[in-house]
Amino acid sequence: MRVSEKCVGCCQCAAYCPYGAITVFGAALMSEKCVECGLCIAYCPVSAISEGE
Amino acid sequence: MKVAIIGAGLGGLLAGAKLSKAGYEVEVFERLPFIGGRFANLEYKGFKLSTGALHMMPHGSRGPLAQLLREVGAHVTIIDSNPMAVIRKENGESIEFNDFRKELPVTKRVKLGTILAYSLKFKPKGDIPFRDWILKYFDDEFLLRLADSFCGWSLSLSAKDTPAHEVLEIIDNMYRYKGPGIPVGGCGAVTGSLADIISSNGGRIHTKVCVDKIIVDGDRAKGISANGKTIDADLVISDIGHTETSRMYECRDKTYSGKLEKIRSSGGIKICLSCDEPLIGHSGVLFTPYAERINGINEVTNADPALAPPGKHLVMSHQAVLSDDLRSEIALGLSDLKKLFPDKKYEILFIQSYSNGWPVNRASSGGDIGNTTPVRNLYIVGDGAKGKGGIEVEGVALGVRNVMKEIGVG
Repeated sequence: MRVSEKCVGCCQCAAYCPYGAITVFGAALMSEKCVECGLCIAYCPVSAISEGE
Repeated sequence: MKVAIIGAGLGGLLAGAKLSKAGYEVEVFERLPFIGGRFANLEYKGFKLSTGALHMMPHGSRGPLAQLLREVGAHVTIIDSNPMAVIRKENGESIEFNDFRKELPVTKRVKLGTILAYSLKFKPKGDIPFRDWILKYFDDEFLLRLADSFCGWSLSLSAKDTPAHEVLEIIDNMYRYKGPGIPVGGCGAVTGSLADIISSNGGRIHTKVCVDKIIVDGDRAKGISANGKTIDADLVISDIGHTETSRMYECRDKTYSGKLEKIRSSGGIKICLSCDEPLIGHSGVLFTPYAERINGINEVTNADPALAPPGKHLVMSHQAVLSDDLRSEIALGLSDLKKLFPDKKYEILFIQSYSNGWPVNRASSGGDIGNTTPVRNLYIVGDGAKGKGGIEVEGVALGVRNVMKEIGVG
């Protein structure tokens, strides 16, 4: 998944990620554990996550 | 009468509960997959973290939010914090918040009493910042640091960015409503209970539905368009702030548009910690005026142990964001925690930051522009339209109360 500069770092994606693939320090960072399921997209309040590398 | 509510955050749900109880046909539209906005629980590793706000109501069981919850019949238990707050001094000792005057020399203490009594009655005119207002009377490092700690914790602002009249309104409210409390079950228990009330009164809440337009005819809203579908309404209430709402219709009112440009949001950083042994040991706020960034901390498991897995405590620190370099602001917060609890063991669960489109407050305290819009039956609730002197969610409740008064719902 791709995280844009709109990300504020609220951690909603990280909490809902079933794979524990997202760490957050000021902004979300996708790890290699990400399986591109796309669940995080819906939970982002600022539409900062999209599909793609 | 049919009402369409945009956003299922605390403001939208409070308005929905109140109106559905008064017989309105309520429909709430939320774009996210869950309700509660920045006043919801966030489950993580068995902890009940929160999406935004801390699990705390600034005026506890006696405050405006608690009052409104009681009025609509929400079943929420609020445990008032005791002590309400404690201040960590420079030497590491702690004193009760109400005793802060004792830290001042006698002459300053007497002067503070007189000035405060006078200023609460005759609030300063204009927008003099709280910091400048203090400096007018006192040159005192402790008072200035305490002011920053208090404004940062309560409003995510530094004292130089908070209008003095707003802080004095807050002090008034502290005398009136008293100190904070913790809702059992956290933020999610409050918003969940409001959603139940709306449903039991026949209202509907839709998640994953995005409102893209408010349909306006002349100076009246006729309804909304959500996921491309038109929904008629006699009344529209928006919980997404003035600015975002104004983008959903053609706003021709220049005075209003001018006011929108002046709205500033406030940003903050919340660090969530897990620990086996308590770091604080009480359910009140720990103000940390001598920390570099952190303004205050609470340990909600002292009031509601179920917010953490058995044997664990949940601690949350809050700091206003003082520079554009978010990562270094976070690093300073983490280093503060190390210095505040040098011998304690804790694990960092989440570092949550809030700004821009998902801030602490859509309109920073003292910069609210009220609840009405140029469209007569379109009102704004939530943290973008709080009532005077209302800290965070208490301000949201006061704002909802203002709207109910305008509509004529008692």
